[in-house]
Amino acid sequence: MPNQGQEAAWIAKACKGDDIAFGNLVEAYQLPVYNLCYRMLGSAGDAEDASQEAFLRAYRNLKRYDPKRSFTNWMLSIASHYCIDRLRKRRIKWLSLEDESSSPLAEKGLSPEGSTLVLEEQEAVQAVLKELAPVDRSAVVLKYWYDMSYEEIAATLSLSESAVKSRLHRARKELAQRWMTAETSTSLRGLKDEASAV
Amino acid sequence: MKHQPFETWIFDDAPLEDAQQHQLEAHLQDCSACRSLFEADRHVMAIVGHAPMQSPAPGFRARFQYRLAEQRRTRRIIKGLLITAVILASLITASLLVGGFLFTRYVPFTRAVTGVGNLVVQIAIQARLMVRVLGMIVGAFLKTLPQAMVLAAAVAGMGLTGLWLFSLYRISSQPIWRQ
Repeated sequence: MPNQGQEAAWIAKACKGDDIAFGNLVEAYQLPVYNLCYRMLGSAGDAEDASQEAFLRAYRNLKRYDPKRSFTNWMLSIASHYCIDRLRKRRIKWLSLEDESSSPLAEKGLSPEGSTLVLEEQEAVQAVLKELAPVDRSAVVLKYWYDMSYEEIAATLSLSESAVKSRLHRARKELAQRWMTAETSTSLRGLKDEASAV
Repeated sequence: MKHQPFETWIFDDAPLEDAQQHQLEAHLQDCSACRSLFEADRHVMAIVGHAPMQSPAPGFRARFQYRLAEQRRTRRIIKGLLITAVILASLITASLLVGGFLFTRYVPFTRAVTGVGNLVVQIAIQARLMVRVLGMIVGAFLKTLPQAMVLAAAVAGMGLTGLWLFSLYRISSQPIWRQ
């Protein structure tokens, strides 16, 4: 990450049309922006496309950037809003095209064996995240991956602090409940498999 | 069994007071539903806390710069087309306005309307005259030819027209993907 003086200099130069300076900003912030898009959208291809689009939007609106705000938070705000819009459009498509009854988590099947347990669990969390509403998902990612305060999340997502608190509370409850449901269905499936093997 | 306020406390980010913490622990020992929820929440939060940052494939900056250049190129083309359309529309509007102004300035309105009417009638008369002259020329030419030859030319003409119509039908009935 660049220091504040360096970042301010790059922003000032980029505002004057210096592409190299903006390229430096892209280089410096690609990781947090990409990770947010990945956690929001759930696939590398979508995350690449969304993060590129977020930087393009930032480039077009750079003159509107308020230097009093953190540049990272501003970038994450653009990326969050873009991902939320994209998820809403995708949801409309899903609802109109197919039945959403099958849960991706249930399809994954959480096997508690082997060295890939952590990876499997992370994939499972990603699958549970997918089930959350776009804004709730964004709040969870900003809070637990980026360690943002309620105030920062509120500013990033254009919500009130109390709305952020209640959304996070609801999201955590939903995550826990879905996790429990998935584990129950996995253990039931395991029992069935054992019974059929016998 | 009452699950509140314990359920709220389980998902609260703010640290609980000592008394609340003791009450929650006591409740979790008795209530299996809240205990399962508590364990699931802590488990999910632990996984989230350990989830690594995902990084893009190498060359992200270069891909961004290529995309930016592409977008600029598209915008330049759209801008050029828009400018051309605006110039054309302005020219047409200006010529209509100037033409209309000059026309009404030098020709009174009633005369202008009758003038336009006369012009249309004159064009129609001239066209009819031309058709009649052409007809006379063709008629005179055909009289010089033997009748059998005229008949054969007419039949050949009809045949060619039929072939042309048939080929049009064949082309239009083909599916798009085969073209």
